[in-house]
Amino acid sequence: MYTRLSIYENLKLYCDLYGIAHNRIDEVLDIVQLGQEKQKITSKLSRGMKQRVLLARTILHEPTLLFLDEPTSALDPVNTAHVHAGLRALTAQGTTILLTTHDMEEAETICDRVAFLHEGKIQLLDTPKKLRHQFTDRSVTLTCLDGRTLTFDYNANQADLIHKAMKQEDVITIHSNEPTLGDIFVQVTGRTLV
Amino acid sequence: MKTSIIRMQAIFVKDFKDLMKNMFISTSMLMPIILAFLYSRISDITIDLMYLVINLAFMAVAFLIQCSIIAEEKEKNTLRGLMLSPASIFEILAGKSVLTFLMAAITILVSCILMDYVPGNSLIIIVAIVISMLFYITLGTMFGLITKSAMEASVISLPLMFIFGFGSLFEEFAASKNVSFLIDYLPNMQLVNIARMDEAGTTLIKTMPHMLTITAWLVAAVIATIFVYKRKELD
Repeated sequence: MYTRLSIYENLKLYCDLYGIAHNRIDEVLDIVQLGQEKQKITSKLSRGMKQRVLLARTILHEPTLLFLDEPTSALDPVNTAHVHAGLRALTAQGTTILLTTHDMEEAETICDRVAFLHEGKIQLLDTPKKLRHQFTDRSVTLTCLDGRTLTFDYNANQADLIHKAMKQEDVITIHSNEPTLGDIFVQVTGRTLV
Repeated sequence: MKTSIIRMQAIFVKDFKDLMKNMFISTSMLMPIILAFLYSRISDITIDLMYLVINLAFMAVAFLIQCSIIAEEKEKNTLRGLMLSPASIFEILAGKSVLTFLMAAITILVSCILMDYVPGNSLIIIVAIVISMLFYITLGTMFGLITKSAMEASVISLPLMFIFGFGSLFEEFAASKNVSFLIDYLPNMQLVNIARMDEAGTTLIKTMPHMLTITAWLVAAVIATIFVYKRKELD
């Protein structure tokens, strides 16, 4: 990114290099939600905004396949949400995105399919939902008003116990205990997340 | 892929806007102009002094700006984006070189006007200056490829500034050490020789040995730049 130039000037350069009409700049800035900031000099932007400008530049020529390496690393939640919204808009337009991340929450939030890479090999590949279902311990945890938690396997034998607990205790939450993608990664690779 | 004027123009416009906001560039351009202004106060300014300013403009603008803009692109990883775009390496370097050429030409023109320099035969001087300019821009390109940052580019330019910018100041010193032939073959000294001959009223043909020597420097610089590019690539 040319830090002495404005967001618009940076993107205009790439429009000219790719032979794209300049009105595309407003379209991509809308996707990354920087439409109001386009005249700002890039050196004065926050890190998150710079990341979004880079994303805007990347999608300017409407690539069919996009490789992104940790696009939200070190971003605050607001900027992360902006970038995620931009990525979703892109996939809705038909772009395939291959995103590498250490952030399992991000993988779960925006990825249609997740592959766990370990020692150069794909260990698992599926949708986040199916992976979590695959690794679930099929248990459910009830949290009572007094803070106690009751955990049951959800099978026919335990159904009555769950029913009884629901009737007798002042239950405030019920959660099925599917593992997070992070838990699955640790289980599959035997490593911890870096 | 065909060479595109539009892509070269895009890089030219981008670099122009970028350089206009860069203090380093304005001071580089101002240095020879200020020197020209100071020399213009001297009543009987010699051709050697005038060409000291012109050679300084070559180094401070044609060489240093070209070198810095390439080095800065590498330093800030922006060259990677350009290389991944449809722009070819030729288009990228041509866009930058045209801008550097124009800035150096403006600096030299303003300096000449300030010093009231009017060549005897404008064609001789314009040809000599254009060949010299191409040599310094090529040299700047080569050092831009070698250096990794704008800071490194300015450091590396200092010794070259002495050799190519102030070479004529060492003429007498070199003569006393019997190494004047080394100084004589420098492109800046060849240009001074052409200017001296022009002042004495020569023809274009008679300046050919000097013109060819500068051209030989240019060819050598082009070959060296291609060699460096192939060894180091741009990014």
